[in-house]
Amino acid sequence: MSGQVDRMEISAFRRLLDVHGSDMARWPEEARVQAQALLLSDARARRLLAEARALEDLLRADAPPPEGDLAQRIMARVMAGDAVQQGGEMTQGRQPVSVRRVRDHRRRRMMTPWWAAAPLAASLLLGVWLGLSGALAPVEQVLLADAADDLAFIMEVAAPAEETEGELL
Amino acid sequence: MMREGTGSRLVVAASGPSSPGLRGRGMEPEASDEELMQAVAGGDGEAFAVLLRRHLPTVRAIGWRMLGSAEAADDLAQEVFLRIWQAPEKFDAGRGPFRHWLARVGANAAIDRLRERKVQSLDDDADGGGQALADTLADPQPDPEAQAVRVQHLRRLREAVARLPERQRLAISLAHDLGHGNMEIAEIMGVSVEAVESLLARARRTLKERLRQELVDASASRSTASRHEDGAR
Repeated sequence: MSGQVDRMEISAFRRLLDVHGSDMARWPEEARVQAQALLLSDARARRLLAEARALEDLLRADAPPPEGDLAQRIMARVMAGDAVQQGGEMTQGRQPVSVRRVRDHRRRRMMTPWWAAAPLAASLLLGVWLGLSGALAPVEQVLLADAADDLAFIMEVAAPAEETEGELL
Repeated sequence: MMREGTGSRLVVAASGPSSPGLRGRGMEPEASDEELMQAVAGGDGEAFAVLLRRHLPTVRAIGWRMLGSAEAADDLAQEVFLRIWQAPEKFDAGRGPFRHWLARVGANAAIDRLRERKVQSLDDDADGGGQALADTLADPQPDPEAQAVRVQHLRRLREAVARLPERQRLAISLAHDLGHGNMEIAEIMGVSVEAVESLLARARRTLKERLRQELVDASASRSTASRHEDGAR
């Protein structure tokens, strides 16, 4: 090793700046050593380096504004199972497992047919009539009250559920 | 606890009452992107929320540089992350890290949008683009005159960047907004390193030519600031 560093031409220095940018840590090592020697002796090289840094400063200053609540909005769409437009076609929406589970349960509830409660309602009406007519013993009246509770429960289950996605957010 | 910057509200939202959560499944929030994507493929909303928080700035940065407005960048980010949620199986961990794949997905979506609407004219920024620019300055100047000059410089920069060919603009974004090296950019863009070097060299040269005066001013301002700092010492 002689310690002698080959002289770099200014055109090569300019090319390296354009290819790798002003951060010389990203330059090939041999070129970096030559470039540092050139910078010590050549004002044009220093000017080119300053120009490259100024461009990078400008690019850095031109950053996007803060994202605000964008992440929450995206998650809300994910939770809602929104579909996304892709090449003119809508893709199938997809929800997290936990949300799917809630929705499936709700759907099953909503699909309970109204007529499933009809026989119970009929027997309840008969019971009410019997109770009012004094034909039932007290214990039978208690059973009748239980049946009324069951009917109320079934009707509640059969009713359309309110949208409650907000609970999950 | 979630790592800093990850909203706990989101985690609750994504996990739901019956989910054991990332920690419950032995998966810390510091899990790798690839591990999180595996969980996302199984419908794990909490893993998705972590990925979203971690990488939303990446997609927004690409959208910002490629499309030229915060609104367009936000729309792009929504589209990209919803696509990922809906089709996580498209990510193949065997073909490279998630963040490269994500940058590629974001870049392709941005280019699609550009081709749909062509390049938006920055001159059509009717509501006073100067103020919008001023609002986004990373380092606002206390001096109104200096602020106005800075805004003018950024306006010229955006115009110059917007006129670059798509691939050059993308290479600039990946290098300067996301800090990728040339080899990583080559992987993301699916081209050779030599091609990336050519794209970057042409883009930087063009920007310097178009912004000659702005760069002279900025260099002078930088030197002045540097002298003041030296004087203060």
